[in-house]
Amino acid sequence: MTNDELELSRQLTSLVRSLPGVHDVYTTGGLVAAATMAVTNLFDDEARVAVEGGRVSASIAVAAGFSAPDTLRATSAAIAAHLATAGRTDEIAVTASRIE
Amino acid sequence: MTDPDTLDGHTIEELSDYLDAGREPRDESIENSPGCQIALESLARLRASTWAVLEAEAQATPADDAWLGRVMAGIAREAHAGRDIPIAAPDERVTLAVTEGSVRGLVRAAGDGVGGALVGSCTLLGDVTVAGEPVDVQVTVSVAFGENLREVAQQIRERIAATLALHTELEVRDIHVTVSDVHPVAKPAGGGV
Repeated sequence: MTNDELELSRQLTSLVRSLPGVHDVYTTGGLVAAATMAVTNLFDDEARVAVEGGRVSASIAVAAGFSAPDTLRATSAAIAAHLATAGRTDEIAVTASRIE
Repeated sequence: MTDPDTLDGHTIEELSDYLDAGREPRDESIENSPGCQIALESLARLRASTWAVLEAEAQATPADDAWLGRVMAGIAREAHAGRDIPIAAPDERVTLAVTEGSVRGLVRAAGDGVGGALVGSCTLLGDVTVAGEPVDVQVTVSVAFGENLREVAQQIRERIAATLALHTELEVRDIHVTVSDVHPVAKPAGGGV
């Protein structure tokens, strides 16, 4: 990730964490990706949403009492709105990796 | 390469020990792994409901020790992310999905505790990666002695159907619940009954 992408990742991670129905945000790509990032000094716990090559990827845990499909759609909509303010039209992928 | 015998590098035994220790000291590699979280939730339910009974039974009859081991292995195996199950997205630039592991975790949570039941395994049969494809759910359970097996199986089926309808867009064709074992009823803490 470039510095700009890292900063955008931090913003999106904070945004997604704040959304109703989102219990947690995981490092996209799992621990292998996290370990690789740590080795290359790129790991940033506040930058869990991946921003790379015109694609934004988020892996979330859906909170109890919320519908996973509704939460996923709301999350992608919030990400798209944030990207739009920066004039970006990245592809967006959101995955529910755990549902409480 | 992912090790099929571990969840993000942790064995089910390590997760069990971590649970025993009250999740202290905090291990970020466990707490930040959705697979480990799913497995920990399953293990916690297992213990809360029937762990003491099953453990005592396993000590009394060695054959049951193997069954317990299979349940634990099943928890670990099924908590893996697995396939991506699509959710309808608002436009073509957006891809939404729930992982197979998260859905198996939901199914397990829906079945655990119904009539003292304990889910042994959960399998999603069919191509879950294609929207609209019919999918069968196959679940094996152990049920507490004395329960009406047919009624418990029906309740589990209904709970699984409800949770899948809420959290997925799967075309569930059938939910097969097989009672593979019957275990003793857990006595309340402090004895008496």
